[in-house]
Amino acid sequence: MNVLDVDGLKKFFHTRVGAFGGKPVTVRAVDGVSFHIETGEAFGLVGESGCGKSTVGRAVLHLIPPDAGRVALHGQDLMQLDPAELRALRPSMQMIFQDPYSSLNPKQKVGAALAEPIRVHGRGSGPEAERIVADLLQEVGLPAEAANRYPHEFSGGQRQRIAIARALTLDPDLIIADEAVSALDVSIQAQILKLLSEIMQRRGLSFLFISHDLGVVRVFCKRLAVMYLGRIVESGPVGPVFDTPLHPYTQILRAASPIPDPSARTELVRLSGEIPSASNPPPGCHFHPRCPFATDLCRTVTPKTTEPVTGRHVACHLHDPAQADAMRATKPLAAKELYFP
Amino acid sequence: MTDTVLQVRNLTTSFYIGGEWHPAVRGVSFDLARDETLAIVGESGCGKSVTVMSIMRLLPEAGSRIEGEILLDGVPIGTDPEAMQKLRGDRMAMIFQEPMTALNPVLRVGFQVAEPLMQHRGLSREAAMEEAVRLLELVGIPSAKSRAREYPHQFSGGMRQRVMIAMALACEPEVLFADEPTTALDVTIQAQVLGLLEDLRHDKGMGLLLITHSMGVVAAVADRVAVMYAGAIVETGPVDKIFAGPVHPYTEGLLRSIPRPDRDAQDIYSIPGAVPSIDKMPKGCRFAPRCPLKINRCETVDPVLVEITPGHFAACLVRAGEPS
Repeated sequence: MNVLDVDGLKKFFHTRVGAFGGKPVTVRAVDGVSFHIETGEAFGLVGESGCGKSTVGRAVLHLIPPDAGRVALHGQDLMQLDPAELRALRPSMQMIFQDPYSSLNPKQKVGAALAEPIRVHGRGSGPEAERIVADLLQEVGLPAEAANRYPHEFSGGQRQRIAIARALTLDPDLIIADEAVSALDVSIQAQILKLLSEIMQRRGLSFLFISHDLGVVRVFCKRLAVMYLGRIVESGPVGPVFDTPLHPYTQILRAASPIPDPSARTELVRLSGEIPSASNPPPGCHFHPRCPFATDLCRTVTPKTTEPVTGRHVACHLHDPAQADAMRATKPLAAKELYFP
Repeated sequence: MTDTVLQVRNLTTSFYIGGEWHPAVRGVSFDLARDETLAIVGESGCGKSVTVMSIMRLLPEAGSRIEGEILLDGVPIGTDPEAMQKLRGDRMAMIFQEPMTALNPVLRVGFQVAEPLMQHRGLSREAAMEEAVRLLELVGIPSAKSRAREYPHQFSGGMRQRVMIAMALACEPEVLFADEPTTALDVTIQAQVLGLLEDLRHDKGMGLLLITHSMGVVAAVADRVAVMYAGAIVETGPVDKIFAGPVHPYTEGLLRSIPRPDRDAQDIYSIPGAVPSIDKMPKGCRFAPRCPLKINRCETVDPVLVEITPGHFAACLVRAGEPS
């Protein structure tokens, strides 16, 4: 049974751009995203700034209400629940943010911050809550006296441990980690990744692990999805997707990710082009203005998701047998200069 | 490698904290050749940025003390503010991590690129603006002529970083300091900017001092690398030697901790503990409390850099020994 099923998730933001009130613009931050997470699995969601990966995390949690689609936890559709029922489900989904400096209350002692959800959800009070807090601190590798200190007394890595402990207070089934190790130095990042792996194994937790760092995702996750401008362009098991990426965007992303090995040094990708804005995405395949294989077809028709290899999905006309003839028939687009919407 | 442009000798920078002077950078020495990329790598608080800020004299004078010698083309650079003002942006230039805070938000980007040319080269406003457009083209900004009249907020992160590179290159500096130039950028844009820096360094024969926390970036562009820990260089040498055979346990641990996108991870390795804070530095080797190879002597003797193979130095009593 899957812990999480996401089907056709959409989240649009409406805003105004320009002088004198501007003109209304719809930002299609998440534009039909589907994936599932198996119980006990860490599922990675990768992509560059503005691709919508964080919005997916928030919409899954209903921190922001999705516009369309289905989000089901243990098969139960969250969209169908009334606020009280949703609140009752909240403990089973928790979130860890990138910046523990801003996600912890600076005026609240760590012990109080950890005990609060325990008390609010009636899981214990007084000495019982204190005991749960002490156990949690031990589980994340902090001394028991940390409970009597304030967040500013801790280093970045320790604060992230506190954030993890807080996410664990209500014994969740699913943790959404949004760039949870991105702000940390390498040696601390490795410590936190190790801690998360141990907790995942011990508690049989599942993770939606949002990150821009392919290395971290390869270490921590089993499967992943790659997002580009609000859509998933490729998904599958981490090893095969990174070793033999199918989608041209995944190929470029992988090639641009630095490898700590000078003997593997290759010509730096001098790929031109900016990431277009989600408020005005290119038509057809969103990636076509930067794609070395783009044809006329890519400019007009949105690619369907196909499964060319079992367990691997890709949204690209190159991998869609139904479009093979059409791709051959249309002419490739000329090498493009920078894209400006 | 004989064409040395920058020599740093025994640079020590201390800050006045809680009534005492604490060194944030201790006895750092290195050379930088023309057309060479030297990467200084290390984690937060290791002193890599302070090293560059000390060379450029960009630290506030109150509460900081800089000792040591810096030679540009073999000539010691003056330490008085006026002499430095002449050098900065002319023979030595710098680019920063966050271009939005380094660029002036109320000035057009063309003018900001032109400014050093008027300041140092005495160009007229028109001539400098013309040159600025050429520089913006050089760093790959499309329709440079019209974009030169725009403001920084109208540029994306990668484009802003290009503007800052154009600014830094305006007077064709001999040494370019780049402090985490790609840290705030997405990987595909990072590759573009690193590629651009590489090309420009080579075309202009500049010495490039790259400050970064990313071993991946080091592996991609550096010729030589200096690894800093707690204010000192603990290992330095050619990039292929350091990556293939790190000698200092910190370098080794750092390399092993990096999650790699190109291979399946067996185990996550992590260095235990954390970097000591500036006012609580241990005696002896500062890495000793986290070191798996620690011997008793490490707690009392501060190791110095010892040459292991030509050009490859490490400061570790256990692995590199003591100078004879």
